[in-house]
Amino acid sequence: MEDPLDCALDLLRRLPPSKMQHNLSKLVQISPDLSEDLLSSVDHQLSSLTCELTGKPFLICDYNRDGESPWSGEFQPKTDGVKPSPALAQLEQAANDAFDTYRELYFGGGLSSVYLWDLDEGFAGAILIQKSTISIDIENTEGTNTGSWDSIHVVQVTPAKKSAVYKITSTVILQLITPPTADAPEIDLGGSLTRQAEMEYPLDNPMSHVHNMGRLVEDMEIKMRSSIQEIYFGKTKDILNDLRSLTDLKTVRNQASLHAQMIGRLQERNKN
Amino acid sequence: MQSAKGEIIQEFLLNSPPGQVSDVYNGSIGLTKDIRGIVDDKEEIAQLVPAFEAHNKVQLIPIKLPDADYETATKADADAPTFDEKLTKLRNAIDEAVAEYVSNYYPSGISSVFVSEDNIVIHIVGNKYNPNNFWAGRLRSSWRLSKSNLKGSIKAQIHYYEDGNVQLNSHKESDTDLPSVVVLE
Repeated sequence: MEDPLDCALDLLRRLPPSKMQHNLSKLVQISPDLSEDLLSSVDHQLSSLTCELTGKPFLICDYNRDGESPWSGEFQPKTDGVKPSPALAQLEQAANDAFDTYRELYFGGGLSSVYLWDLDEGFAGAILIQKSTISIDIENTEGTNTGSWDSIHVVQVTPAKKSAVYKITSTVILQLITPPTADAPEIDLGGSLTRQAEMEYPLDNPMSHVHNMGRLVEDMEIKMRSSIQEIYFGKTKDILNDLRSLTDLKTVRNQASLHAQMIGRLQERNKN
Repeated sequence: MQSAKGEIIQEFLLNSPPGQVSDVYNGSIGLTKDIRGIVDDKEEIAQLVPAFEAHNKVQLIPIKLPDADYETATKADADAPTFDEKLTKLRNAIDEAVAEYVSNYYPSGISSVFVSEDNIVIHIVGNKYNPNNFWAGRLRSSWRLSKSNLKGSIKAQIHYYEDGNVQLNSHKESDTDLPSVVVLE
């Protein structure tokens, strides 16, 4: 592995995901040349700003580094950032409203923001959703359980005659922290998963992009929600069982050896 | 002399997931030509040695003793001399019992028992590294047995990194007063 960017990305899939921001800043410190590439190719937990004009909160990320408020279309602080073309700005507005509804239906809270930008052919967009929870366990006075979900979908849209091709890269960052109690251990379970897909959907009119992107994101999130269940809990449990068995291995070994002996004797008898 | 880059690499090494300290090392030195240059410098390599040692000690990395044929969990106390005859006898008995327990419950576990001052120290570690399927795990525990008390700490770390990076870190402390029957003489 000679390419420095590959080295950096390899490190980031090994170092503790709970310290993602910190690790990223240390990598940029080691090799400042990579900073642009790393910041644009590595997803981390989203932060939010409040729209100065409407008072509504919105999510910011590297795809919206100029701080455009999706609610007012203005930049915060005021800069001459690149704004989407009028047609795309209209689509952006509609997508923000649609994903706000989607988020409320599936997450029952949290925040969502959509940013679109023009490409030479078609356009691209980032669809961001975040929700965090803090639940206070009355049994546990030492701390609170915290959880956070960040989903970052980057879509590239290439329209054809009566359809459009949507390429999506989706990352979900999920962190769960449970402080220790008298009986239970401290648990810090977290990280990120990334999946890609490509779909072609019919396009009746330009606003159909909202429906198509919604359908694609919904499908990705349903699949990834189930992968999370499988990996965070199922796989982790399997690996732990591989480290330490819940049952006495001696019994298992004895049974295996007894089984082997029986088969051996049966074979002997068959020979005779 | 400590360089800022060297310090960051040390921190990365200490944070390596199970079985991947050499991957983290290779990734770190491959990061920039500059770093490779630094690591070629003898002084800089020497600077990373304590980070490797600290990682191995904290993570109970099994080592092969030069004059023995078996692996022992943790370099931490491998060199500790034992003198007291009664304690040595007790250590040997516990060592045997712990080894049996570990072979009964850990598919690939290693244990070590040492005398440290007036106490008996027990280390247990189970490792599974499966880089082909992008996962690794480690369960380690350390126990200190004094005259009437057994204190322990159990840590689990699990890493899954196919198209992602998911890690479980879990930690439990244990503190048990022992019945007088087990009092060490």
